[in-house]
Amino acid sequence: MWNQMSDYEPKIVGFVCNWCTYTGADLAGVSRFQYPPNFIPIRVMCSGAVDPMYVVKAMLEGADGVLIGGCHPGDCHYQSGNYKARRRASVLQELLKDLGLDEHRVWVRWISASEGKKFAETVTEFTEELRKLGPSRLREEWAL
Amino acid sequence: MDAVHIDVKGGDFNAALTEALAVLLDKHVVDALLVPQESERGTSINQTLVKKAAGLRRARPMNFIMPVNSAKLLQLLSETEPDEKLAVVLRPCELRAAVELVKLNQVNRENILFIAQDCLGTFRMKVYDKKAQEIRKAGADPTASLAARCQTQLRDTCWACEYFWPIEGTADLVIAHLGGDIARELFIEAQTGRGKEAIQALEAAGYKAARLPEARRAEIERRKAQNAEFRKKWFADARAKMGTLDGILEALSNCIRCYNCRDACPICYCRECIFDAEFMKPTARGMLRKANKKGLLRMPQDTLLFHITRLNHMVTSCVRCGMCEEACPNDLPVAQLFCSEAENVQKIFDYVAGKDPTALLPLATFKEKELEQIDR
Repeated sequence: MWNQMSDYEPKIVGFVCNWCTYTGADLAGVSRFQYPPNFIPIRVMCSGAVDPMYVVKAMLEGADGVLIGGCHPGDCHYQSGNYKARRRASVLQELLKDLGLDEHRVWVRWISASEGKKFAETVTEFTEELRKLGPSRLREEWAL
Repeated sequence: MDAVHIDVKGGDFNAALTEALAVLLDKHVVDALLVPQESERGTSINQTLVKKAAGLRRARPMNFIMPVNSAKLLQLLSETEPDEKLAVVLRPCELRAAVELVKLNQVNRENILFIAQDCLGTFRMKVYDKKAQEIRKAGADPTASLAARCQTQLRDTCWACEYFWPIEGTADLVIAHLGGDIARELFIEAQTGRGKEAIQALEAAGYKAARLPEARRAEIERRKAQNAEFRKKWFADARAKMGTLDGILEALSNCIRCYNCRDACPICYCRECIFDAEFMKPTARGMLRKANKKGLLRMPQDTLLFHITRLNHMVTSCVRCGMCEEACPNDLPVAQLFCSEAENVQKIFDYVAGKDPTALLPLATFKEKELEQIDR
């Protein structure tokens, strides 16, 4: 072990859509909801714009979890981006599962602009879950 | 459906087929033909573009090797607006790739007549080269002699093939032999209106109307069951070998990142692949930073990123032709990996790549009510 994992803090990379989840995160901040600081948000215009490669790259670079956040089904700013994101994420999770890459570390959540509370809860829940799972093996893996 | 009978003399089914194809050119059913022909030395067979019947010199429409997936050639031919009618002789996996590329707006279906065949299976190219030379030395025709023998060295992808005949409704014309004796007779059946025109031209040229052998269905089912058995073992082996992080890293550890698998893949059609983009090039500083963090770093890096990304991009349309593995200089089991993943992923959407021209691409469509457990 090159890093001491006793002081393990999960690292979450989040791809959050501009119209819902990002705004929801903003609301969480404005509303002063408390949530763990383990979340690194990356704003994208739509969850449908998240190429699975971004998610895989984040994982391979050592993120313990990746969150894809979009509008609720039916509420996409671009009509159907989140439905397509859902299909793409399903493909990705199937592949991760089959290759032994722990698909439980990729979460898809629909969080609207008014759900600041849900955003805070989701990040809290995900952080706790990742604490239980322990650090991603990919952090240490050198043969990628 | 309309079909004609083709008499095969002396077991030379390719000569008989060539005559029939020449009719299509002579009678101007099509203006050009994309058809496999043997090299002068007889050790290789490649697709050729033929404008006149005289160009059908050593045509081997049915053969035992597949240097490229011809759907890729159709994409090339579709890049500029073709103003001539083209017929192309395809294997079932090439046909399925062509069907996918039509959906992906890469192949122009308007001007191309798909002639697909009951597949004989293919050898690895290196294996074929040796076999063909031996048979040639003995003074025989490699394709005809190989068809007469029991094949045990076909590519794994061929043994695992689920659709080794042209799936109904995907081709214009079908060259059928399953359930009959290829050394004595072949059949060409029309499956579309355009196909019918071609059959009429063949009938006008003296070919007799016929029906496909009654035993064809049963023969297809028999082989299907046989292949399903191999496929099951092959996929189980893939899971055992590559179902864990250690396993997949070990299996891909000889990858030299040549991108041959991508270039050979009929579905990887992007003009500029993201892995060729400037911003994807690793910097020395970045690599050293990672090496510092992890203690050591495999070079070149990002092998897994490449293969998983490629999988994500093509797996819903993968037709399991196995050209990736054929192109791999280090014989990585990439076809085994991609074929088994294609099976798993396409199942989610109840989709089989190349099976139904009217079925929408899984990633280009959606249902409002589906996959609802994903946010739980």
